[in-house]
Amino acid sequence: MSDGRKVLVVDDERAIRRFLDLALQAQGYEVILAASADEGLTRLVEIRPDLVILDLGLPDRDGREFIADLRSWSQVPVIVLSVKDREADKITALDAGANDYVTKPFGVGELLARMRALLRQIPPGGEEPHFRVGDLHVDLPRRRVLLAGEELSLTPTEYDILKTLIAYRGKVVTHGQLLQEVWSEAYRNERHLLQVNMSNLRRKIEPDPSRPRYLLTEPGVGYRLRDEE
Amino acid sequence: MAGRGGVTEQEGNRAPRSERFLVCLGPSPFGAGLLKEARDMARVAGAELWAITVDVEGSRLDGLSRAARKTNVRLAERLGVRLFVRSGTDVARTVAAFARRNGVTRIVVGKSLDSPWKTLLRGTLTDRLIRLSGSIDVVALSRREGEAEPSLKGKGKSLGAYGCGAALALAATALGLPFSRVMAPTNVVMVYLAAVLVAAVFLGRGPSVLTAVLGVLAFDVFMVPPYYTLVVADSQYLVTFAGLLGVGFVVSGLASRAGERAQEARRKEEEALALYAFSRDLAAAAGREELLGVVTEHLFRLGWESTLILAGEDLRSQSGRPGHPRDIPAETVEDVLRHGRPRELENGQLCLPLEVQERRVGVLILHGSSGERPEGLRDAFVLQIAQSLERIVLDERARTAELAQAREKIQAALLDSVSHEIRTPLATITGVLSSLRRGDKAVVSDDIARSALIETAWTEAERLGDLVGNLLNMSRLEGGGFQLDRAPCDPSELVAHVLGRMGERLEGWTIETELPQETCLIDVDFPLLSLVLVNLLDNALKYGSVDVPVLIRGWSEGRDFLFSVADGGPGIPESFRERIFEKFFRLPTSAGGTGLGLTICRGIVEAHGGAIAAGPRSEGGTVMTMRLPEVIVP
Repeated sequence: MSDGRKVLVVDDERAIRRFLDLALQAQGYEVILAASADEGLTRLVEIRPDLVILDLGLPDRDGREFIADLRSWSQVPVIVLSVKDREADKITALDAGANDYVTKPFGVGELLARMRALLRQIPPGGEEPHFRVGDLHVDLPRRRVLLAGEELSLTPTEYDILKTLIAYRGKVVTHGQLLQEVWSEAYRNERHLLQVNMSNLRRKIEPDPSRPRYLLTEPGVGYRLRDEE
Repeated sequence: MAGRGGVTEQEGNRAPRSERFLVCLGPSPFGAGLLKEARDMARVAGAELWAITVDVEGSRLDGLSRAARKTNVRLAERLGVRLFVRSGTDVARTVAAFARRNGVTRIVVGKSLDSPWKTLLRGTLTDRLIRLSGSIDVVALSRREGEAEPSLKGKGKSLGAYGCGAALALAATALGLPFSRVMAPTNVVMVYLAAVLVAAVFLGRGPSVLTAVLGVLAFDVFMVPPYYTLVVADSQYLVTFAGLLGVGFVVSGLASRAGERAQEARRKEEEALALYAFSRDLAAAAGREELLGVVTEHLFRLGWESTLILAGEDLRSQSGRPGHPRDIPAETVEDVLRHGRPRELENGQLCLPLEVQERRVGVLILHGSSGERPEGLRDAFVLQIAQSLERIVLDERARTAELAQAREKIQAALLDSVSHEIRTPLATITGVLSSLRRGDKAVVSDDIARSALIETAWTEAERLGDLVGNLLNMSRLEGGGFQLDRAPCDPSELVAHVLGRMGERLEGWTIETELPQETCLIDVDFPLLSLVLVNLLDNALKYGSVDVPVLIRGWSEGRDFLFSVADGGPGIPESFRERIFEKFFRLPTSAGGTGLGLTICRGIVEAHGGAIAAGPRSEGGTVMTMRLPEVIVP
């Protein structure tokens, strides 16, 4: 199912490396292991993997530096493994160029879902015209949003937010990224603007806003649009 | 001192406030009481209080009056009363003129400000002020009870006393004259002796000597023949004169010495009282800071401006004129502390070491002397201070020991609790893993049994994760509290996220939510606050009953936002409702846990400036309510 895609795992914890090796191989990935940032960069150049799983707390180098270095010459998707409760670290990693993060401790299912979302990034033949998950259906060319077959009326801003989230479907989008893409760079810190629109959007597209199914909150970081059920 | 130069600009120019009271301070020790009473009066009336003291031109103040005036001036400044010093030939005129010029609405005087003689001559100061000040109210305050008449008697030796002495001699003459013609004049000497005695007791030495001298002269002129001349016919009368004069001197000396002794006794009594009050207040002082305040305050009452510095701490207290901190060279303090010898500085400051059990614990610095106070009193004070310090040091040591003991207990409890909490899930996980690893037939072949086992291990692993999270948060809380990263967020989104995060735990439960219908934003730390709600909801599930819905509410009150989580459990007894927030506290009916969750919740809510409390739910159960003040984003 993963067609032998190559995944580079950079983590100094032996137990994590072993566990990921087994779990990812079982899913059909080809796994390359590295125990330090230096080793990781060497392997990156040699092997050119399709995806990188990177632990932020490496002994020889700061994870963010690693990402920035890597981003200067490669667009390979990066999933960051971070220790719980450090929202600021997650955001800086994402801003530095990481594509998503998974919090330790984590379940394999969660990691695999993130990997799938990232590897699906470039669908052959460009953008899909339709986004469907559960009862939610977005017809992008016609700018129509339907919930269980009924058309919803969204404001242009709400629609733009939804469209941006669809472009990053399954992946985390930080508050800053959303503000930048829907409004502009100058609005990067206008959180209340995003909040108000997000609340309204949630009320419209969620069947039960108190139990969101589609629009997931990543506390302190941003949002994620669920793309598989 | 509020110099005259600096004050003039205030006069006249300032628009008068609604009320301005002026209190007249004489060079008398009653000034302190008067000043305080006037201050109270002004406070009640909402008036500004000024004080004035008039230097009468051409009159000299004796030592006592000077000291009294100095004390009054200091007190005025300490009480924040603006004090003016004026000079003039007539107190009443000067005060009245000043009052009129500066828009004073009420003049406060003490009744004892004027001497009886002047009163006789020109009326009391109060009367004259009333006459001179026109529409301004004049209030005369009588001396308060308990304020001892200061030892002015015998020292004043005013003209009045001498007049009285002369009058006594005159009276004796008038009394003796009728008798002198019928009996031997030497017998009339007794009347004069009586007069001298009276003068000595009541008027003091000088006037009684005057009485004796005048008495001898009058006796000679009126009663010793030949009359109406100083010439004496019978030379034996010279012995009588000498006797009368001698007895007069001796008696006046004795009497005035008795007076001085009485005065000395009064002063000693006053000092003893001061010392008593001091030791009483010292005994009541609970800690170093309170002690510092008590010491300087009491010394100030006795006329010493002082600074008390405690060694090894940055604690010092100073009494004296506000806004005029005294410079104390640090080297001097060090030196006194090191060598334990008192040192007198060039500017008259006296540095005294305070010793407790051979250890020097502080330095008391007296800025200038306190007039007439003896060294003995000063030393008694120093001894008292040192003893109190010792008591406090011992108290603190005892408390530190107690604290250390309590901390040890807590740490033991922590280790106990934590190791138990960690071992339990770990035991389950290792147990499950070992049976899978060994390949127990019963487990490997039975799919349902295997997945049940794995599920158990998974739940326990999650519990272990929560525990570690709690411990981490606890150490964050203790290491200086939570650093908030506030951002606007939607309370509904917060609750939705929490419900999402609880996920499978909520299966089988009914969760009802009541949240604002309108979009409303609150400025909070989303991740931390969601942690609070997760903890509260977790407790609601732990203690509640599946049959009763758990209700999560969020509502705004003004700019505050409140959340509550209500469960249908057995409720928390009132005596535990506060204690559940204590670290490591667990209800006797506890369903396990570290006793840290609610402590962390409170820490987070308090970091937001809010409060969290437990209460009963009307239909049975518990409601946890938190109020987050001023968080609504307009």
